Amino acid sequence: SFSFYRSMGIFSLPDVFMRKLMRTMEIGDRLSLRLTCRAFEQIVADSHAGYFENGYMELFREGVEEEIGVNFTFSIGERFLAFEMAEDEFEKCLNLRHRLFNGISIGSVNFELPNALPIHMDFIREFINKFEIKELHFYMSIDRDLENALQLLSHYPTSACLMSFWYLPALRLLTLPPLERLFVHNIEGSSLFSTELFVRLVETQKNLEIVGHHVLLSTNEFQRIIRAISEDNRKRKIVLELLCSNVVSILRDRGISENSKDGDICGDFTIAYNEPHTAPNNRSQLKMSDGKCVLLFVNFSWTGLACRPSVSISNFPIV
Amino acid sequence: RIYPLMRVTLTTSDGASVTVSRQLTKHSGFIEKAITDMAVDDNAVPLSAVAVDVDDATLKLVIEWLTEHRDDALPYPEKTDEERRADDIPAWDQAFVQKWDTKEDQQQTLYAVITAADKLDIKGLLDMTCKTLANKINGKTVEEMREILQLECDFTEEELAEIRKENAWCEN
Repeated sequence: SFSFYRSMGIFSLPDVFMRKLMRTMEIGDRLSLRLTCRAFEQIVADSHAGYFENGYMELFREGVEEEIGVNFTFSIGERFLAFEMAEDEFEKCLNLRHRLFNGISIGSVNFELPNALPIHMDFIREFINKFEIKELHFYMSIDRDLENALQLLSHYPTSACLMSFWYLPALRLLTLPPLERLFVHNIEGSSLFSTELFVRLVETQKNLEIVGHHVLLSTNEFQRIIRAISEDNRKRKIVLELLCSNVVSILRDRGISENSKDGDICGDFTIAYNEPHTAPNNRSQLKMSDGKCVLLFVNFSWTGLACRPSVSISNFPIV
Repeated sequence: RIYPLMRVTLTTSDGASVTVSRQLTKHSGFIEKAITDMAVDDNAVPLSAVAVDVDDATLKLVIEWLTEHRDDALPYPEKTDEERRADDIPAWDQAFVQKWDTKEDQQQTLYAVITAADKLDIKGLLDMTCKTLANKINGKTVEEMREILQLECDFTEEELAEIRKENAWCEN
């Protein structure tokens, strides 16, 4: 019989087991467990929450003058903590966070902290204390957001970082540390992106995506970028927008035209497919590869129709 | 390395003796260390029995599980990024746990096997039992959790109200 263990309860189980068990609990289960009894309320607070693939953190101010409050959201797993609070109420939010777990590992966290003030950043830093984050992704619209992102990033020196800019801080982009991926978006119509800046970013950043800005590249500059990607042992992808005439000029300089066929060889490159008239808007797309680098041109027009072509250059297969 | 011919005698906390193949005990960090400490040749019979702090009935269950898992890969793989997953218990293991008599016995037996897995340092068994208990709790109400884990609520009504108020920030 198991008489020796008849009086065993959950709290007599080995610590190693309890730690393991608590790492499998979802946040919703942790909330329920803390209501069961005092001992479990303490176990929940003292245990690591385990690994979650994705998290999201947003803090923004709302209201006017002395009525200004803060909306803070932290989502993890199937749950999110949502606080609407005055700036002097951070303590109660931090208290709940400290009662829910004493540590957590997250694969990737998106941070949206628009125009956050030092008091907000102090709160965020305290909130994510004991968070292990493999990849941090910051969304930024003004210089203050960038300062705040760099400040938070300094607490995660070994983590990967992605930055999405919704404004163009131009030269400040060159001062960024090496990122996992840099996005620069423009939501106010296409504007010219400095060729020199673009070329230097290709040299310093592994993955780069420029959307809503167009770059002007000569055939030689385009060739230099392809060589830089080809010769890099790291997995890299560059996405940019060019003017339609620029795309056509680069392709024609390589001997490629609307009449080129799938399988045609043009210099070092073989055309995977050339579709001059793709539904629904009759735009063209073309994919080619030299065995190391894959180039994908989409949404362009051989006849010079107004469009915003996008070009992907990668040193790994893209669909 | 597999030692199919070598057999090890284990003495239990309630005085029984069980002889098992080294092919099974290689999954127990505790027994392997005990054998190593005896400094016997890999293919020789240990000079003395290995004492384990587990009762005979529980040890029999552990051996049954080890017999099924004798060919599992060693060392046991670390799964830090997948540790949340509890829905991948093999069918044989699920049936193994379910056959443990009544509801109360099942829980007590589960606790006994968990304790034995920890004492004998059998990582695969500890993992499986952890997932089994996690599956019993996941998604349950507070009342159901108290019943499953045999817990008494020792909060005052005011304390419960305060925790519920805090939890409400996450109730979505």
